[in-house]
Amino acid sequence: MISAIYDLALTTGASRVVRGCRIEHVCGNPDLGPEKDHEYGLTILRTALGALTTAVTGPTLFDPMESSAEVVHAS
Amino acid sequence: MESELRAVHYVNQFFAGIGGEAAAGTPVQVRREPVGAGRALAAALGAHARIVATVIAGDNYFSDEREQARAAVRDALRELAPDVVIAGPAFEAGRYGIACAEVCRIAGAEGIPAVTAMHPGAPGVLMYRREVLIVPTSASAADMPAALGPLARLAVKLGRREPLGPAEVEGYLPRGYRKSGERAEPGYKRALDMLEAKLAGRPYASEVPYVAPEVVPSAPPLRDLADAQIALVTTGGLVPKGNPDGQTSGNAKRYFRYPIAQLETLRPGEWEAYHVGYFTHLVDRNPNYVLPLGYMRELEKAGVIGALHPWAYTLPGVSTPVAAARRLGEDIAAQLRDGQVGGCLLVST
Repeated sequence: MISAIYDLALTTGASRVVRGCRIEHVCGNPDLGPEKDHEYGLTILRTALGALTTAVTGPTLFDPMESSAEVVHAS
Repeated sequence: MESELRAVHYVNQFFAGIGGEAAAGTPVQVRREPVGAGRALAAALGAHARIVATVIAGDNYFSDEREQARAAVRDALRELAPDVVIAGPAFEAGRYGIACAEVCRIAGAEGIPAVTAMHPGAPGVLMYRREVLIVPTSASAADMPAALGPLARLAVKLGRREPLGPAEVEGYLPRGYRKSGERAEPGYKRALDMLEAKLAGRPYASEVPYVAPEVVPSAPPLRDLADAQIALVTTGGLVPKGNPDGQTSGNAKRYFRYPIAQLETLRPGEWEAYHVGYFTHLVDRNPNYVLPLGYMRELEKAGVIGALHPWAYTLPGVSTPVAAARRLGEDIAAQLRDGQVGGCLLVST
């Protein structure tokens, strides 16, 4: 689940919660300008896909801001 | 004659009369009087308590600027030093309910008794039910008069530092604590009475209510992302412009699915968010914020994922009871399984 209200999301039973930006713009940030907004959106999505490939034992938060530059890449 | 208690009331931008979603970014402010819905609360408190100040914050401000908002509320409460803090009622609001519960928690940390009120299904209850006293209300703000009576009564009791009785007596949501005490009859007699009532089909009240914990086992990780089909789902209420299928703005009774195989991205003007729980203007300008099709298409082309599932699922999550959401989720999951989907991204607003 990608959500800006990640505290709440973690209590709902979702095992993999990815931190989104804000309720009104979960997968991006228009304040960053088009280029950085796009980059940020891709980072969130890459983090989310990385979460799908990660084993978890309970509700786990994946924060795009803390992940390394290339969480998922084509081989 | 008991002296009049000093109460502080917390409301959001809407109940303060400042504005709706557009004003949800209002920073914390303090007014030295009852404001908006607080006037009715003041009437309910009668001569027992006076609202000496109202703390107001926009729902988005409280959620986005968490540290600043919490510090501002804490500082205000320290300065005002009330006998009791009353937050809400928030009814079924998500952000507002969470903010109200958080304000009560902050008050508690400062040694000030506090109470809030909201619908038992509201997210604030889910998150704070053990820490904060919450009076149950209906889901509708139209029931404000009915909600204020129990809230005011409990607030006065707390402000006077009177001992608190059990939940069903005092009218707050059970917090999951058990207190030892004496009952009128011995346990074996009460158990037999209960059994007799149960066998006769009469109503009985369990002394220990059984609430099954919601534990969802996590799915094992995807082994080969580059080979997998990934699906997109959103509860942000995204629909084609004009809402041709008549999706409701909340309280979802069904979900919708739209074909996206031919689309490279979601273009503004072709999609809109119809959802009463958040300010949808930014999603209308860039629908990919809640259904990230454009990004997923790029990642598909780059070989990061095998394929993007050709159907996108949407519904308006706001005001949807948990039982309904569970059923809709199970239906969508069954469809995704049939479609050989390996992983799913759910974007929630």
